[in-house]
Amino acid sequence: MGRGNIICLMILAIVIVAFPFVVESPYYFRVINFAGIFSLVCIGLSLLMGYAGQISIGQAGFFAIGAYSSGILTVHFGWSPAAGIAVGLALNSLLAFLVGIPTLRLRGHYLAMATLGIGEIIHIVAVADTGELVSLVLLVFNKVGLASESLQNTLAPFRALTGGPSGFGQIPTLGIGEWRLTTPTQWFCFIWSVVLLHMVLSLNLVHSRIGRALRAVHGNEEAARAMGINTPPLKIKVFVVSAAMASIAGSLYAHYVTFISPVTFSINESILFVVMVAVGGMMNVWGALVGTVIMTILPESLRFFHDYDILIYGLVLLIIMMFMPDGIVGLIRRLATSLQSRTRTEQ
Amino acid sequence: MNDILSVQGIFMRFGGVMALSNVTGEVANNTVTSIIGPNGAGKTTLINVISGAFAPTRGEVLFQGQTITGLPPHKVAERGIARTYQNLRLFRHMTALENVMVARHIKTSSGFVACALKLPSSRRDEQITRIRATEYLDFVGLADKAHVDALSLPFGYQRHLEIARALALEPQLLLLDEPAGGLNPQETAGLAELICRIRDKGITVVLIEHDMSLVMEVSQYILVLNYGRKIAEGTPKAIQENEEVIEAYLGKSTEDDAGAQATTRDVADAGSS
Repeated sequence: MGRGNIICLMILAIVIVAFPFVVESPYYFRVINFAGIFSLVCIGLSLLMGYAGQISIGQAGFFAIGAYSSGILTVHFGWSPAAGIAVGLALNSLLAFLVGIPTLRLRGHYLAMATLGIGEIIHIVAVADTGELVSLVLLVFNKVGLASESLQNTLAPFRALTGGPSGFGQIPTLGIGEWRLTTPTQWFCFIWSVVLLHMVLSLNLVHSRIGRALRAVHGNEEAARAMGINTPPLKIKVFVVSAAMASIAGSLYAHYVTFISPVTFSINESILFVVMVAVGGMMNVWGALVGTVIMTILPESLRFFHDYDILIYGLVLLIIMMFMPDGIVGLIRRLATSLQSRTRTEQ
Repeated sequence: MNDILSVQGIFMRFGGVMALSNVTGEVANNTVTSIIGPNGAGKTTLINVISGAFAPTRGEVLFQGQTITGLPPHKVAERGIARTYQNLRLFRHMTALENVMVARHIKTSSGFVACALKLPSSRRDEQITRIRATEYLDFVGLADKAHVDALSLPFGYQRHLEIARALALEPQLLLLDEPAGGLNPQETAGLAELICRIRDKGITVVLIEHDMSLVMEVSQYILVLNYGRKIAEGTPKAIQENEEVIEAYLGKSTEDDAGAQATTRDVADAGSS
């Protein structure tokens, strides 16, 4: 990690510490907390897009699995939030691994197509009414004469597992021992500490042999292979990492909002994540952070257009792709280098 | 056994085209062995077969006495064969130094977790990689260009950078695919000197090249391909006098092509100079 990144991390840390002293409105905290949660998904996605050169249009699905694992296990089964987060992570990693094996062994954008499908399937499962499914199972067992009181009791929690289209609530907040995160300010400190931690880990990864190998794969896969890099396992691993980060974000979302419903995890959300990464600049982990914050705050300040937001996202993506393919962070970097070389020639 | 590489009866078919048919040849240890032939003779295809980019339709590739036929490229690289490309394939958006550092990937082993946490093993890997990569840049004379974006380097430097990247794999065998393509005579002279230094390090070089004076200057042995077949092999002197080779380069009638005449003269003169 270079000096520039360490300075940026320090600035980020200072902003995080200063924010609660400057801002008072809980509304602003809510907006910036959502930005923090979404930026976790986007940091993972930028590792995949910018470094492995692969696109996933199913991150909302991984996000959903994290959220539903945490929600269902804590609400319906009384597990601890930590266990819920762990189960979400395990499920997501396994799923990403299984999707990655066939798609990332091939060259080309097969992952984008597969994740598009996976995201949609997860969304449909979340919308599905498990109550009807349980009734059907009980009916079948009844017909065969195996229905019993204990079976009904065992299946009872599954009746309202996902809550169907209207979702479910009363998800407990996070905490240690007796102490609970309650105010938006406390959540702010927690969420953004997690973001900072993920930024440090991602920057370390990017500036290591693994990050270099991934950039080489993106730069020229054939040459990377001739340099001894076995590319498919590397791409699969980075995809698993991106899914795991989306899972953590999903779990945080569930415990923060305490209510989840399928509408949060639709394909629109997946596309929005891709837009966020592209706007910030996908060749840089910072781009994910900047893009997410901008694309979360922008719609809030553009309330005026509220039904046309997807149209505006499309327009923003179009403009970015046409005029600044490296995104906002790429533009800033280019300006900084040209400024540097200009001052150098003046001297 | 003195041969580091041996190809046995290689056939390579692409659809209806037989790019290589029954090519057999050996490369002696610690030599510069050139493969020459007119355009479309199958030289690059042979390199692709050796380096694992293509699996041959038939035949066997032996490296240090062991078969490497059909191994994927990264396994071939691990065994100790490095290559460069006719049309440069440097890594985009990376500096010259980073390009060379990529080739040190297989010499280091810290994984995802160690790298993300920046554990001591990962730090040490990074340090050593940087030092070694700088040494290879220095070897090809690009030490002062370490932090320049690879693709913004002048073309001749990019050729040298690709060689540095290949050398950083610490190969026993280096395959150079037309390294003088696009270079001016001065740069070509520098390349000839570089190839000799590489051989002096104990690395065997297989050179594909159209520049006959370079081939004649640096090689100890030459294989000639035409239409996917080996038509001749021997020392540079023997090749210059070989009727079939001259014919392959010129065709039977010599009056209509001034460029081709220049080539014969190259073939004939280069050895004596």
